[in-house]
Amino acid sequence: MVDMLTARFLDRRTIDKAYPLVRTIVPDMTVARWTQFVRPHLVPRSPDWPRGVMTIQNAAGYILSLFAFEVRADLQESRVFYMDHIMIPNLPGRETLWACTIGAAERLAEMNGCRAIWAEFRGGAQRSDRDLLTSLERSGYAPAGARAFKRLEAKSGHTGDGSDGVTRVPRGSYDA
Amino acid sequence: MRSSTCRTDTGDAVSRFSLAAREGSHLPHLVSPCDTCQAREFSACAPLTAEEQKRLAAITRTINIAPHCSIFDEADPAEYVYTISAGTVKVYKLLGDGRRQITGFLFAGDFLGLIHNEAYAYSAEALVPTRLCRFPRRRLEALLVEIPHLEQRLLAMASHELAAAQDQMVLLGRKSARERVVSFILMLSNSATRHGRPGDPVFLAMSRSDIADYLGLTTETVSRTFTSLKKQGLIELLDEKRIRLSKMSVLREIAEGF
Repeated sequence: MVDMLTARFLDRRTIDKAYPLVRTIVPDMTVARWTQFVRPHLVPRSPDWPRGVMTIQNAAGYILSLFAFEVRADLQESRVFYMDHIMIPNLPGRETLWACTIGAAERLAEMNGCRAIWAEFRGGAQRSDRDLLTSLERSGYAPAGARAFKRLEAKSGHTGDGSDGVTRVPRGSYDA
Repeated sequence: MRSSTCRTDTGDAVSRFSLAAREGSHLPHLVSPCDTCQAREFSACAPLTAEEQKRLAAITRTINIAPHCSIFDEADPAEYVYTISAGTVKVYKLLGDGRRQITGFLFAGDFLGLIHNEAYAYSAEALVPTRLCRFPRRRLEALLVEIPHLEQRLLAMASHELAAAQDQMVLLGRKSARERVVSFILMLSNSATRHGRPGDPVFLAMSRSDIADYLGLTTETVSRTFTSLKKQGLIELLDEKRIRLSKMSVLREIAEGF
């Protein structure tokens, strides 16, 4: 099965292709917001501290899952692999897909000399999050540390609603 | 629209199989929809053994949908997964301003409703007379645990609404209307070949308006582009629904932006 699903880095040419998957997990996501968010992730901070977005694709090249990653310095563990924005849709066979996604992250972490992995997920479908935690626990992960979240009130000029200056050709009105 | 004229439920496969056997049919195996399914060979069902096929048939209902009739609507509870045995389906979302955005076309052998939350995130409508196999989601998922190679093939090979939406994003990345239309025609051709049908002539189950909506173009632009390609001898419009690809290599170059 593993060789029927392939891990591939997302690149600038495939940002748009990943969008339908992202919209499946975050229904109100726009193409503009996704593009604006993901582009900086595709450029490493430095050659020694890589970051990017990894996708899992099937034999036909369709993107079935993805996660963002970054290698960071950690006071206790030296180099640590962070994975977040884990997007795995609810589809039959998803446990295999989770295993493949987690496996890809672990291989990447090992290749980058990391001593530990942090996996963070939030914001997706609740059931999916629960299932993902179960899947991570099966692979040897355990809840660790604590993170707290507070949504701040939007200030003028920072609406966070996708009005980010990225323009797009409206559908149905394009002419050559 | 989901009136009785839209939908014919031909019942579950096993009871029809049993009925035929009880009535002493000399060809009871022909009653199973899997045996006569033209999409089976290239669908996720292909590797099933006779026993596994029987178990799948036990949870399957075959449904016939008339053209332009709804299969399910956005926000309906996502209780069922479908495979398309024959026909073409469009999936679309209704936008906040009332407009409709087609996000993909699905063909025989493809899955429908595979990816879900609690409700369908889009609507699905038959474009031509369409036959579907319908599986209750929970029972299908339970069966997949017992038939792991079906699950694997489904993940690795199956095409579904997410794949169709990704195809659309690739097409929308094409810059000009001409590149989009040609890429779309070639996509239909490739899809037909992949699904065991002739890739030339290309059969257009969808209207020009649907194509325009899907490609982010106006209907006039789509029609004008077809006419222009015809005048240049790159395609031949056999009738409203069929296109012959006269100069495949040139069409490929256009699709690639050369």
